[in-house]
Amino acid sequence: MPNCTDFSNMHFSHTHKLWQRPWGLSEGVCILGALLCVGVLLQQLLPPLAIQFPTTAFAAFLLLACCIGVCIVAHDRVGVVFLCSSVALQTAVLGFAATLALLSFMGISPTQHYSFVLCYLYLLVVLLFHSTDAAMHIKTRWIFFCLHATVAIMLLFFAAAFHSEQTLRVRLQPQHTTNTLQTQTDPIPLPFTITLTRFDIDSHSGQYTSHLRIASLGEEEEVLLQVNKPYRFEDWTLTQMGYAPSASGYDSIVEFQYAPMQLPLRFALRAALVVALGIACSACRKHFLRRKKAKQHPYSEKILIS
Amino acid sequence: MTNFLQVMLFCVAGMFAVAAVLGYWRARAASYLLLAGMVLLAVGIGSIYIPAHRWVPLYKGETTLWFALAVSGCGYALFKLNTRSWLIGIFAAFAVLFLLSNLLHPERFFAIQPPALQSMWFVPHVCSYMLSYLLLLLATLFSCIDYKRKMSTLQFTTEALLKTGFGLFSLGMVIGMLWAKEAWGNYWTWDLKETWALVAWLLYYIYIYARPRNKTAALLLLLVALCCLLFCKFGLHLLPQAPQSLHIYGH
Repeated sequence: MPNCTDFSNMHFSHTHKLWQRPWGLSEGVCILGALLCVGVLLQQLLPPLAIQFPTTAFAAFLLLACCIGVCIVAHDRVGVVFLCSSVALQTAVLGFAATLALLSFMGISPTQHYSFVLCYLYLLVVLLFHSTDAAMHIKTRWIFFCLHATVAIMLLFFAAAFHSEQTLRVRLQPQHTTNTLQTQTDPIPLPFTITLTRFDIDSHSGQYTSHLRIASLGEEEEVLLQVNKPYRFEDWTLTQMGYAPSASGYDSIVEFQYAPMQLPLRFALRAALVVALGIACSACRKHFLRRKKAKQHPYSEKILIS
Repeated sequence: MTNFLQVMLFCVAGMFAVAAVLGYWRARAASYLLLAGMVLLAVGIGSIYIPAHRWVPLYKGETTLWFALAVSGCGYALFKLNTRSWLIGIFAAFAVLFLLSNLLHPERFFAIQPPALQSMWFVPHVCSYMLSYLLLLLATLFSCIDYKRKMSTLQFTTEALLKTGFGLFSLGMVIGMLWAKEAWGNYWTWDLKETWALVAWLLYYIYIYARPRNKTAALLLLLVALCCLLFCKFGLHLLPQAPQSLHIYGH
């Protein structure tokens, strides 16, 4: 299994052709360009993107299994060698960042465009190959492997596939009772009845509060909903988002979120913490190693740590 | 702003200003002065929160005090780790700027924060980002100086600043995710601010872990990353979907 190899510094003769071994920056850019073009084509031909949990989680596990399998079985293939190289990581990350920036300038939400999904999957594949390669060439202790930044980022991107929340922003009118959420397609039934009894704005702190009455199975509960203080009922979370003037005073804008799979979300949080910890430890380790070598060689500051 | 607080801030700003001037020639004395100023500033911040029995920042002036404390603390810590005398001067100067914004406009001190920002997460989140902006800006500046001189004299310092800034940037993102989960119910909503923060983060990640060997390409990558970072902070309002952004705080 080859190490992560940087082919960008290799000297190619003027007769080097595209897709000739080994693959380098040109091939990486071509792959990315093809993904973007296919994404734009799919966006024109297919209906709007509506892939949700559990399809995303199933796809993520399938991708993980395929990547590990390919790494083990076909480790000397030119494609696998390329995907384990730093050039592939460079092009995948830069392409993903460029896609995000471009969609942002165009006013398109990333999760609604096929190009973003394809770039995301390509980046996840590259990160999976890099992580598998790192796992097979552990040069440091196991704890530092786990905290390696690339592995941590792979975990985060992998965990993001378990995103299972469905959110809907609703305008509640005072003294109006409802037990369904109206959407563009089918109404969503709520397990409770909700009534906005009063809406207050504190002129001193600017804080605004929705006084809600939540009724379920014959029991009623008076709830105060404020910004940064959401209310949770079973798998539902109500969040105070804002307010809007209306004929009867103010309507409260509340976000309803349905998140049945809490366990994968905690996994995503732990993955995010591993990212931060991995980066901090990698930086501290390299920084203090460098200081140690600087103390051993006090007259030279040009110390490169691979 | 109370008279006690105003007098204290004047003293602290004076100490930081002297530390900024002395930093290059008398680094140790400047570091002690900076430390004393930090202690005094912490006492001043405590005098706001303890009588009010709260730790949530309610006024905009409070946040600039936290910024001044965070910047001076970061400068002192970096000086202790790297013993670079100019670090004291630069960070003390930035801390003075934050304090001056309160002293020159005391009427803004009690301007109320938007309700969405009245949270325990606000100070660590924003301080992490602000410190990371400062460190990454300095790292880019030193990289440009090295590139122009065609030397590597500042490479060690640049790497240290870059990695520390990147670490703080990552910490700010994680704190932001935790705050977003509490406030909005989602760790990540692909909001404009979050998207551009991720773009900048990915560019810095590639620069640190898989940068191009070509020095010109590497410097260009760093400059593009800095531009994305500054756009994330100052330029989002130019984008078409800016009014729908959750980070634009209003009614």
